Amino acid sequence: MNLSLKSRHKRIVFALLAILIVLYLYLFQRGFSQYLYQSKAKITDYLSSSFGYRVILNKISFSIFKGFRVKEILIFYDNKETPPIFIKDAHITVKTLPLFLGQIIVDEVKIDKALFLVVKKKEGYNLQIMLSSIFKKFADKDIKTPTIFTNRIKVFIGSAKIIYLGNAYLEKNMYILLKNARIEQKFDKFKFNSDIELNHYLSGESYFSRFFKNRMIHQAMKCTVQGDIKGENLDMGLIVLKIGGEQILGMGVNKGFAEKNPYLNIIFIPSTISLDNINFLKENFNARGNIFIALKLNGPMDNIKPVVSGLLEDCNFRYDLTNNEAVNIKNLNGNIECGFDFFKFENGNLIINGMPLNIKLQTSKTYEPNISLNLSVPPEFFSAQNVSLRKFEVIFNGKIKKALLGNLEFNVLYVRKGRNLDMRAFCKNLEFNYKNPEEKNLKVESIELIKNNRTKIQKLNLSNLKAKVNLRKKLIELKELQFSGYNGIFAGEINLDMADKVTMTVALKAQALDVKTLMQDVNISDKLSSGTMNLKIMFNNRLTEFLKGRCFIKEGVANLDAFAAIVKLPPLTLTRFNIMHAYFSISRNMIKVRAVKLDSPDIRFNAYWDMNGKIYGILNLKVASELLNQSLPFKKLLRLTKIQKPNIDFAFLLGGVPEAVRVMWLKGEFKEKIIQDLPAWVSRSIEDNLEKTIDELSKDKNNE
Amino acid sequence: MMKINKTGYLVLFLVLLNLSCATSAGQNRYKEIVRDASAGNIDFAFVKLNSYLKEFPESIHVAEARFAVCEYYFQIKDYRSAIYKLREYIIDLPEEKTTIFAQLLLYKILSEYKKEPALTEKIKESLFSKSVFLVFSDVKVKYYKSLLNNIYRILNYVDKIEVFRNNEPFLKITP
Repeated sequence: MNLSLKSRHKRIVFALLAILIVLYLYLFQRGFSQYLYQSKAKITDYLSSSFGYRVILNKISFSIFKGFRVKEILIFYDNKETPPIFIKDAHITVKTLPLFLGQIIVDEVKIDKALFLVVKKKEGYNLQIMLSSIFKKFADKDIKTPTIFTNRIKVFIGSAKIIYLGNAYLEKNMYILLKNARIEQKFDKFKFNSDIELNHYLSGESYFSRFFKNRMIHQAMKCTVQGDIKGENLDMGLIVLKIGGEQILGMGVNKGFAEKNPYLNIIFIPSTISLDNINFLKENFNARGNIFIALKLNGPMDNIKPVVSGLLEDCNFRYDLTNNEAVNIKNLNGNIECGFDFFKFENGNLIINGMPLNIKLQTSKTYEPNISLNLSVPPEFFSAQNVSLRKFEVIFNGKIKKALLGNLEFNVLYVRKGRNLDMRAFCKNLEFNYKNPEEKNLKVESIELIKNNRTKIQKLNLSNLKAKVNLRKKLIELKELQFSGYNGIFAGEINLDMADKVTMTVALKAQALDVKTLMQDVNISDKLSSGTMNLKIMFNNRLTEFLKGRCFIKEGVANLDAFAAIVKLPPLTLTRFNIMHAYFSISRNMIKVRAVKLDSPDIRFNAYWDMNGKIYGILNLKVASELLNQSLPFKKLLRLTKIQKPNIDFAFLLGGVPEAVRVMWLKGEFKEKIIQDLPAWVSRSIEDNLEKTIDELSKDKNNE
Repeated sequence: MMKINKTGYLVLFLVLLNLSCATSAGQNRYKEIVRDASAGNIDFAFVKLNSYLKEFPESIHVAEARFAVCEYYFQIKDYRSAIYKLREYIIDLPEEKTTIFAQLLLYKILSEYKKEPALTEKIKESLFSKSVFLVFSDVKVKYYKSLLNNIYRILNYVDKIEVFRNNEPFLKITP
């Protein structure tokens, strides 16, 4: 029979035949879908027993052209927790011919939306454990239906959210979004291509979150992986990460990729990345500049240790403060190295708000991190500013918990008149409760202040400092400041006002300080051997007389041997006094000492003097005649002048320099009478003897 | 007891004679320099001083002689040489009574002609490094007449040092 298409009758037969075929296929599809729907329970049971994990399907249908369509699949890890795999809509394309032969061979899986919940288990991550278990099950049963790893398959994912449900607070708000991901396996070849978005919401509990305007760290990149399956390993010959316009190339191996906890070893070729492409740095810190970066990932999947090392090159950052001001960091250079639980920044230098700084920073642990910070100002900056400092260094070693804990050290080298003056302040076991919004408590176990000018070491040892710190706009206040030292108590407050020009004010009172130990440490004078001192100090850097104070010592002992030697008295090493008192003020060029008073039974003096490199002052001395009579020359002089008073008054003009005071005996009754009654040669002899005594005293002092 | 024969005595005598001649030759040379200086022939005195210092470096007049050399350079306004010699003098002979005059001369040159504030300050510190106790007078005076016949007077007050050279105000220093 000739079946020509030109024949109308024949055409009708073909059309009817085609309709019948389509109808048959439709009925087959509908019938099969119906069958599938009715067999949903059987299918889920089959899948559950095949996978070894409970599977629930909501809807399943079949299309001749598109294959299976499954809506809403849940796969459980166990019955105790939320299912870690949720697939909203998936099309599973199967090969048609084997289907008619009763075989289901998956060709392509298209997942529209999916959600994966990652939980760390004892043996590894839940999803990897499931994958490993399913893979082994299929391999053991030698099921003809190919698995994703055994023959060829394509998986396309529209979007999949992978959420990490870790325990540590820093990780619990972290997820990865895969977009337009394509996974392709053909025999032993493997390809992965996807847009990846890393999202991490910084918890308010994290110390660093306060510096972020946008706590959501979001970074998009494209990732391509090409590799070969070699036995149990996935050899990733090429890994490409595209961040912005730049790309980083890497390679690595996933050892035992079908095991519960495979071992990853990935290394990226060092590359230069512009900070413009790192979103969270750009958004929060206006970052600009480049970083030459090398990245390594190493370790079992549940404990991968990423290590980033790099070189920052002229990076700039700006951090906007709430009060419309900004912290500008410019020309940041240095070496960084960071891993999962540490961060190192070495050989760093930067300019922060116009102030150049050298920096070395090391932190370990992300939660309650240990911190080691070393900040110093380059000496060239001081030279350029004509400041007499050669070194200014701040060192902090400690940790950030709910409070800042650790040791804080300041080192300053001051050069004055060509002489080096080393100053060091060491605060041991500092605790600063910076989080408290109202009262931020500051505690320091001990403070050691040391001044060393090579020939003389002066120090102050203080302990148990407590204060309440108020941090306000351009104002730092230390209220209720209290610390102890030298058996006494210091109390007061310190304010640092940065509103216009920096103004620092200190008001401090000290009660019942032990003079002996204080003088040993302060090393101002070895002439005060005991007593109890009260001290009051007012400091304001904006005033001409920036430091004013009052010192009061009661029930003390002074060493007046120098006076005894000049007057030819027996040693006055332990001269008891009731009161010693002085007011003092210090300005840039002048130290003024007023109302210096000492009252002892045999000797009293009151004096005042000014010092500005040189000294000018008056000393009035009242010495008991009984004491003077112990000196043979004075006994003779008193007899000669026939003065019979219980006390003899002397007045002296002080001049010269503080290190070698020049003294002139001013006119008075005693002196007048000596001049009248004494032959000139005796006067000269007295002067010569006195000069010898002073020479000897000076030599003794120098030898000390 | 050791016996010394006639030859030994002769040798000892000759040695002593030689020494005495040398000492007397040095004294004579020094007297000659003093004579030249007194007569106002300071250039001759200077030439002879230099050769005297080379020949008799251990002489008791070394301090005075070296100071005179410094003074000569100062007088002829060869300040560079004067500074060099004065610095050498202060380092070599720190304990001599004339050292303070060398310091003052150096201070004068450095503060008025050469302007070296750091060194000037150091000398000033040294000049005020000793305590002074003025008991019956308001001033302590030091006097020195140099080999070149210049008369120096240092007046140490409680608040300053005044120096006169040949009764002319030479320096006034405050700490």
